[in-house]
This record gives sequence, C-alpha cells and structure tokens, in this order.
Amino acid sequence: MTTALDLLSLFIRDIIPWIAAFIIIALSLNLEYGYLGIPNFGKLLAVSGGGFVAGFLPGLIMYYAYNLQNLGYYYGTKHILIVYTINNILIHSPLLSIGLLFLTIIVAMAFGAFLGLVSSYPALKLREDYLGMILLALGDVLVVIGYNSDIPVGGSLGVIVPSLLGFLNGTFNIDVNYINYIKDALFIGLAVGVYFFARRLVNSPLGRVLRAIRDNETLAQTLGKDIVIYRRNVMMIAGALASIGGLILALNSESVIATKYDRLSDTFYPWVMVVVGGAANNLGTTLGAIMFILILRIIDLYKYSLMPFIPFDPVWLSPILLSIALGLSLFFRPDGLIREKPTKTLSEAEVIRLVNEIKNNKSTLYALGFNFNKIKLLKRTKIF
Amino acid sequence: MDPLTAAVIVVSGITILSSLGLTLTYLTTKVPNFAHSSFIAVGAYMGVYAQQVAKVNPLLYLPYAFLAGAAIGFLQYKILLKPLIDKGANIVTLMIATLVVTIFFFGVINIVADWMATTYKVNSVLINFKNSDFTIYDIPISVISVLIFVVLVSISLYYLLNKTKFGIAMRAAIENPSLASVVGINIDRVYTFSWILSGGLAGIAGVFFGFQYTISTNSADFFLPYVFASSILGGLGNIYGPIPGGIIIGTSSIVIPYAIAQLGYPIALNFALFVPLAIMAATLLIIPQGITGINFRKLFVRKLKVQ
Repeated sequence: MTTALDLLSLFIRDIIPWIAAFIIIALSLNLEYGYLGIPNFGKLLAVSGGGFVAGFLPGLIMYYAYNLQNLGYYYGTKHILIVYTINNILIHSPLLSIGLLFLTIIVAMAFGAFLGLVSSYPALKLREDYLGMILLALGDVLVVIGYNSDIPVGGSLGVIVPSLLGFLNGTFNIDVNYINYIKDALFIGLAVGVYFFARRLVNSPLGRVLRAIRDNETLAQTLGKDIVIYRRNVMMIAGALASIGGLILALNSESVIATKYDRLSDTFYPWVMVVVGGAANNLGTTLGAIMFILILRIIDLYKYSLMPFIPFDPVWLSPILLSIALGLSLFFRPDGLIREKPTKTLSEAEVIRLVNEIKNNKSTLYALGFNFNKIKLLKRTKIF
Repeated sequence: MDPLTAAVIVVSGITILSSLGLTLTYLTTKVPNFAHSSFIAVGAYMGVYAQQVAKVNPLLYLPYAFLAGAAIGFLQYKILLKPLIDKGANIVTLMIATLVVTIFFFGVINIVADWMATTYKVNSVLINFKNSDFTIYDIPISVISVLIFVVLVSISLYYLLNKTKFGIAMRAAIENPSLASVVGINIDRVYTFSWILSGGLAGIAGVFFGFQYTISTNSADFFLPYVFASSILGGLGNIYGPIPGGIIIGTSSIVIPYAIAQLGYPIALNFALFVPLAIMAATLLIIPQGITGINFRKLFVRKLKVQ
C-alpha cells in the first residue's frame, strides 16, 4: 500500500530534475537580462542545443565505437534495439559511462557557448526591440531542424538517450531506486554548482562592470570597458549554462524529442521566473524557479481529481496562473520578490577616515613600500 | 487555379494583414507585440468553431474573428500596457508585459479546444479549412476573399490616414506624441484605436490561416517570425511597410522551399521557417530601416552623379 509519505517522496523525486534544470536556465537568463540588460527572448536556442547534444552524442559515439552499423541505421525502426545493445555494453563499463557523461556535459556546454556566440552577434548591433524579435525567431531554429530531420534527434520519433548511470546497477548491484537518488544528487549538484558560479561571477569585479554597462553604457565606455566583449562573453557563458538545463531535462527522461522543447516552456517560463523572483538577484531567481515548478507540478498532480468538475484538462490552468502572477508582479512588485541589492561601496565617512589614516602614518606606509604617488594622483582627480 | 499561386497569395495576404497590425502598434506604443500570435490563434479558433461546431463556412465567422481579436487588443492595451506606460516602464518591461498575454492565451486557447472536444464531441486540433474552400470559376474562395480584404484594408487605411481628420491626428500622434497632445489630439484614443485595429486584422488573418496551414493550439507560434520578418523588411517606421514586406515574405517562403524541393530535396518544404529568418537577419544587417525607409530618389541621384 502506498502511504502519503511514499507519494510525497515520489513527488519530490519527480520535481527535483525539473527544479534543477529550470534554476539553471533561469539563472542563465538572469545573468543576461538581470545583470547585463540583454532581453534574450531566445533562451530556447541554447536549451534545445543542450538537450540535442545529450540526445545524439553518447548514442552515436557508442554506435560508431562498437561498430553497431551491422544492426542497422541508428535512427528509425532499429533505434530501440541499438540503444538496448549500447545499454548492455554500458552497464559493464563504469569508466566508459562516467567518461561519456562528462564528455556529454562538456560538449553540451561548448555547443551552448557557441549558440550564445551566435545570438550575441545581433545583440551587439541592435536595439532592445529589434533584438527581442530576432532572438525570438532565432530560438526556433534548432527545434525546427530537430523535428524535421533525422540527424540530430530522430525527427518526429525522437531518440532514446543511453542510460549512462546503468552501470551502478549492472556492475555494483545498486538498487534501481537508489540510482534515481544518485541521478537527482547529480542534478542538484549541477544546479548548486551553477548557483555558486553565478554568485561568484556577479560579486566579482566583472559583475560590477556588467551592472555598470546595464545602467549606463556610455559611462562604462568612458571608463575603458569594451561593451562588445563583455556582452559576447556573458552571452556565451549564459548559453553554456542554459544548455546544461536542457541536458538535465534530456537525461532525466532518458529521451529527446524536438517538440518537448518549445518557446513557451523554455523561453517564456524562465522569463516569468526571473521577473517574478527578482531580476539581478540570484536568490530571487532561484526562488522564482522553485515556486513556479512547484505550481506547475502540483496542478499536474491533482489534475485527475479536478478533471470531473471542469470540461477541460486542468494543466491548462497553469499558464493562466503563471501569466496572472507575471502581470501582478509587473504592477505591484516590478523588482521581483527579492529585490536587487545595491552594490556595497565604502561610505564617504569611511573614505575620509582611511585617507586621514594614510596621511597620519606616512612613515609607516613608506616603510611598507606604499606608493605615495598614487594618493597624490587620486587627490589631483578630486576623488577625495 | 494552380495551388502554388493560391498558396502564395493566401500566405502573402495573411502576412500582410497580421504585420499591418504589428507595425501599427509598434509605431504607436513602440513595443514589439509578442502576443500577436495569440490574436492570430484566437481568430483561427473562431474559424475552427465555425467549421467544427456551427458547421458553416469559416469565412462567415470573419466578423466574429475581427471582434474577438479587437477585444483582446483593446484589453491588452487598456489593462496592461497603458498603466505600465503611464508608470514610465521601459521597453523591455513592456515586452515582458506582452508575454503575459501570450502565456495567458496559450492556456485559454487550449481550454477552448478541450471544451469544444468534450462538449461537442468534435476534433478541435489539427484542423484545416481545405474542405470549406470551394471554388468560383476555378479560383478558390480563400484566394478571392484574401485579395478583397487586403485591397480593402490597404485602400481604407490610405483613405483614413490621408483624408480624414482622425487619420491626420493619428499620423501626428505617431510622428510626435507630445506635440500632438499639445494641439489637443487625444493620444490615448489614437493608441486604443491602433490596438483595436491590430487585434482585429490579426483575427481576420487567423481565419485565413486555416486555409493554408493546419491549425493546432500552438500553430500560430511558428508564424510569429513571418510577421516580424515582414514588418522589419517593410520598415517598422512606416505604416505601409508591411504591404511590400508581406508580399516578399509570403512569396519567398513558399516559392524558395518549393524550388529547392523541385531540385530534388523535398525536405526543404519543412524548413520554410528559415526563409523569413534569413530575410530578417539580412534586412537588419543591410537595410535596418526597411524597404520603405530607403530613399530611392537619393540613391538614384547619387548614382547619376558618379556616372
């Protein structure tokens, strides 16, 4: 008999990969929009890029490495048989599996960075409105390719991703349930890693430069910051991160089909998360992502109990709820649930105190090898 | 009539009708409306209701499609965008605000489709109106009505903007809102009118959409790049821009994949989306002001001088 606790643990295990993936996607969008002010309405491009890499890379490498061509064409009717054969090889070779997993993550990130580079090209030249339009249109490119051609992810049939953690069961005899926990731990690890990476990035001098560019481009330029390079690099980083999100979605379901990636869930929902949670605040964005995935999945969970009362599928209530949340947030809380923290600089009193301290201790400073000309220079520029 | 020609005319017509509205709202409120595909989808589902439930020709529901689209455009402006503009929201905030409508109507349209399927026991997804498309003198009715609508809309728009007092006020409000409001033009009324017209035209385009494409709850989404491309190619600064833009986008997005398919690559037909995308990218790189923004006279005179 399944108890309420079992159901809860099932629910938590179901949402963890989603939460991890969307935290990563939302954080990458936050980096672009929140900290640098680029309205990237084409997140779908990098997300689908990551998913597609997970879809074709491990399978095709094994297909060619183990000469499985004699079983038939990789995509199509023989696909299930080929992936089954690959899985049988993988469960006895832990090192190969782990190597493939890391290779997939690295290639997905590289491909995501490339896609970020491609989308940064218009971002360097166009105003926000034109940029939004072209990025939105660009976002669909990979999905259209993926759906209409066999080569990356098997067209309308989709592909199965070889089970890269199957060796835990085959070699080390770990129970299948525990493998799911290990998988979740991996996804959580990736999300936490991305969170701390993003936090480190925006609290570094680079983060301050990004905010300066967002708030006043001309001022940043006069201080010698090359806007073009910063924009390009940030979009590449954000692309690499977003593709990890797509990769998690693919590895979680162990299958990839192009229609699973769409503009609504991979571009618009992350925007809702960032705007409602709090742009330019990583904690707020993370909170937004967790909140919205919870709303979406709880509606999914209770849809069968709602079904008898309404003449439609209750899952369609979730976009309506999300859009209302976004609208309310724009009016009543435009900075999001958790606002952007002001950059901490030294207060004026603190600066004067420090200057006086330096003045009073000239000899000590000389002894320590302090360059006194710098202070004179600062005085001349009338900062003090 | 040759189906290729019919497809070219219908797709060009849909593109013109929908991108006219997009350009109009861009000229007034200065925001690219991502919810434009929702207007098209609502119009398309009016047609689906007509064909599947009311069992009449979808073309008879054109007025309802116009009204539904116009109502959504009106509400989007009045409830969402106007208060935000009054608060001094920047352009990215307004773009996010249009996402509210897009996401909301994604839910609404799916609910309507489900409701039609469960209440009336009819198919409500993957519908096209090919069966309702009878011919007169070998010309499909969809082609005739698209042509009539495009010509009618273009002429009345020209008449409105040049011959009527309201139209001249509208042009003034587009050119310089603050100056226009100083001389007593009600800017808000002009903007409201442009949103109503934008929604209505997109609703009409939605009904014609079903004569060429298969309607599903998310099928208008793929058409949004066509609309953007047509508006950008025509020039977002000019209200007549979508007419040449729509003709070029509509024609090339049908003819180029067809020509490549004739060369022996039938898969090209599935990649029609890349044509408007490529044209949009090329336009932004070469002539960002669009076709109507080019000063042809100046180009010509300069060439003469060189010779």
